[in-house]
Amino acid sequence: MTCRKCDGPMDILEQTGHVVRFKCARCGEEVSGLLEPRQHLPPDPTFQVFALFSTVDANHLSKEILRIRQLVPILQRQSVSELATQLKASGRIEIGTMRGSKVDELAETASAQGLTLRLVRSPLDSTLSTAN
Amino acid sequence: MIAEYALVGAGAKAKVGAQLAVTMDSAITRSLRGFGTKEASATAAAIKRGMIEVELVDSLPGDFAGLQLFGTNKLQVLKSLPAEEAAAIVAHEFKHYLDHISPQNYNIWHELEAYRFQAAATGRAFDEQATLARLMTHPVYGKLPR
Repeated sequence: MTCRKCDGPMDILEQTGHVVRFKCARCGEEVSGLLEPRQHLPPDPTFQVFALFSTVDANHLSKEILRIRQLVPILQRQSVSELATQLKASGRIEIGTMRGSKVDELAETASAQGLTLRLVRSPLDSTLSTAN
Repeated sequence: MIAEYALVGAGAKAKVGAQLAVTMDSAITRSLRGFGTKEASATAAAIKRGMIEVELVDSLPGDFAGLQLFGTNKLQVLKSLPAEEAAAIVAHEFKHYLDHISPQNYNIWHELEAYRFQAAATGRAFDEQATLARLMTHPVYGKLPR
């Protein structure tokens, strides 16, 4: 660390807890600062996410697909009919890769908007139901 | 709240000017953007605008990983940290900067708010009661004024 006034080397004058005071070895300028410990972030793994729909009503299903396209912009690369075809063929719509916290966020938003879809994370051993 | 950060950033841009050399690792900025939250975006924008200056350093006193110099816009973060952890620390320190902490006014509530902001920035859940309990019993934070 160097002095903001003369660019000289700063030595630690005193440290109380994580408040530290430095003094410039060249000009005597003093500055205090707050030290922070390491931040061990909880893991936020990435998942492959798919949407399953509970409704069997074709009109309602189209509306749900339209709304999930609005919530997940990458799905707008495909038309509603293409997504409906994917759903018919595989029983699910591929949402893409998302961080776990983002999956939770999307599930909450979808639920708040009254969608009946369920988001399934890959591997398919963990599901988030927006209907509950 | 975020609009307030943006306003502060815009004001600071004029004050700080271009003389500040930002020695920010682009991986940290990418991590902030990658968190995809408003708080992380506000932090990244503050760096881009020169509102805060982040310096990557080889070492800090003790086992500490970050340093915010009181009364300045300067933050220091250990170079050796994983980018996401460094980004979380930058967000935490950015909140301290916004709160204008000084040796005279610094208290445990500043830390609670910094951890709240950090959690929001990184998209993690924040448990206020658990965090406050942890701070109050912490060997260092626990001694702060309340």
